[in-house]
Amino acid sequence: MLSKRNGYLLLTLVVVVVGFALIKAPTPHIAIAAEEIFSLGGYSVTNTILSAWVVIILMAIPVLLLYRRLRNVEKALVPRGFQNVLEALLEAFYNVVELVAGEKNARRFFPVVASIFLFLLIGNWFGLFPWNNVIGVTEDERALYLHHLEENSESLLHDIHAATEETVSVAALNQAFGNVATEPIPVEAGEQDEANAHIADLLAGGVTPLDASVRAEFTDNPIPESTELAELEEAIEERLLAAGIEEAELEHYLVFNLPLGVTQVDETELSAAVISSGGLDLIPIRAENFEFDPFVELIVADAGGFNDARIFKPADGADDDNRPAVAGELNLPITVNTVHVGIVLKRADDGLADDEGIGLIFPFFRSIATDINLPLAIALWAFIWVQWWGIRTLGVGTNFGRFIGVGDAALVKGPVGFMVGLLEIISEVARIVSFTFRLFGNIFAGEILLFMASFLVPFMVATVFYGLEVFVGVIQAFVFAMLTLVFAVTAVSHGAHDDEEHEGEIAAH
Amino acid sequence: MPLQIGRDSLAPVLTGVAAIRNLPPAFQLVGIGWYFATCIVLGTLGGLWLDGQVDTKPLFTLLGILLGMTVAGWGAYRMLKNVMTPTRGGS
Repeated sequence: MLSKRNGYLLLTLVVVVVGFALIKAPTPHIAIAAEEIFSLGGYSVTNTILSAWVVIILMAIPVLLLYRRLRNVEKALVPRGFQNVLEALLEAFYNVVELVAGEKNARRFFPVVASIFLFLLIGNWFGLFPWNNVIGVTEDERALYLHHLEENSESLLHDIHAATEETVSVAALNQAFGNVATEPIPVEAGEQDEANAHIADLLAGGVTPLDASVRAEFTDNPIPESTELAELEEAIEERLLAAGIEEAELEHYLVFNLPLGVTQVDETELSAAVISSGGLDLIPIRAENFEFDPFVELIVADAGGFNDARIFKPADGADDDNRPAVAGELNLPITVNTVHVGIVLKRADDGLADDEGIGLIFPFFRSIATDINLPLAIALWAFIWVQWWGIRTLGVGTNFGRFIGVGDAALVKGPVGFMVGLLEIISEVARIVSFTFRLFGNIFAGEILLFMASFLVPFMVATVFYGLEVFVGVIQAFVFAMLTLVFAVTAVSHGAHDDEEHEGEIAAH
Repeated sequence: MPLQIGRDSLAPVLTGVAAIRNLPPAFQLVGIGWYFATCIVLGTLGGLWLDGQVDTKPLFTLLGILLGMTVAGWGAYRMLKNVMTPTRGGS
């Protein structure tokens, strides 16, 4: 007969093993950059910004409630409940600050240092709750990939130029835009029928009013032959705007979305390329079925690495700069957007049905320190305060004299002092960098650890790592605050004379 | 005669509560995870439904999550307090 304790242990073990064997969590998608959730008048609000706002509200509400209570002095003198806890915490922290900085400096350093500590502590712990990284907006992976390509279009235009070492054929551009189809073929899972219908329409010569407008613009007012590469983008944009394309959509039509005149298209091959069995892959074989105006090579990207772009050479024999349409060939006016999407939609077989896609989640809440902008912002804030305290205590000349090795604050006198001053400047900048990456690295790595632990063994095991992350959250907040304090103390010291005074203050405590 | 609920009829419930209180603290709090998840999920679904009605995505979804967070936090605090506070007459 099992004892109670052993019974509970056995039950726990069964739950862990069953979870490991039977439940498969989705593969975590690790994104270093914080994801945008919505925008407020052009300002992009990411999930870490949203979390930071909630943390600020969580800190502000108890303070405001306590403030109301403290107005009744009689009640405030005998703290109880939450007021008691807060006073104990702040007093303990103040004692530490006073021990390091001395009584005089503790009063002015404490608000900043304690704010940094409390904000990071609550922010790190807030990031451990179960609403982080699980609830959010989902996007089809392929649609997301397109968006990524469009955002990077400008830099890749230059990459194309560098890779081909040829100038872009302006005449071919005019010809391609003169045959453009502006409406992209649907790419999301479940849109196969629509995509089929669209392709059929294109093959039948379907032309929308916008297509006609853009085509007319490039036919009647073609880009001059003498246009340099650097001005090409502007020339294309000018004509697209004149044709009625919205400014926000211009990037659709640049670089990756430069339309190509496609010839010798086999309808079956094109359909197969666009309407995949739910996959993403490189299809070099399919690419060889197309012949492209050689001024731009086909650009595709690896499904696993959206930052990579491989350039495929045109099919052999297509070496003319301006290949006119040949009688009998089908000239299919589709944009690179469409063709490109068609090709990258093919994925290695992973069991997806035709109407299934892969969704990426953009969570609404994410631990604040996992966005490198926040540790950097707090590091810069700490740097500004340290310099301000140095200026207030020592004066502008003495404070900055430290960095150029002159005056009373120079660490070493003479010419060597100048070099030492330069090293001081590097040291100040290095502190900002080390602050940033220490906090970011610890918290981001912790979050990845939690993802992996939960992914590998869904139940129970991650509890151990959550315990670790609670501890890491406290330590990182404390280290950040204490280092700021130490640097502040260093900044307001005059040198050896004041160091002795300061040591005396510490001894007195 | 008004309905009277005596201790006898409450006996099974009281026994159940007492039984829970006899469990180690870790097992008394097994329900806290479900409570947290339920609050957040219900808040999210409620917010999603409201967003669907008035087409203000993701405003009400976010507000629903925040409401779920608040209720979850308050309930978790009460549960923890019950576990941490000694029972009357007990240790």
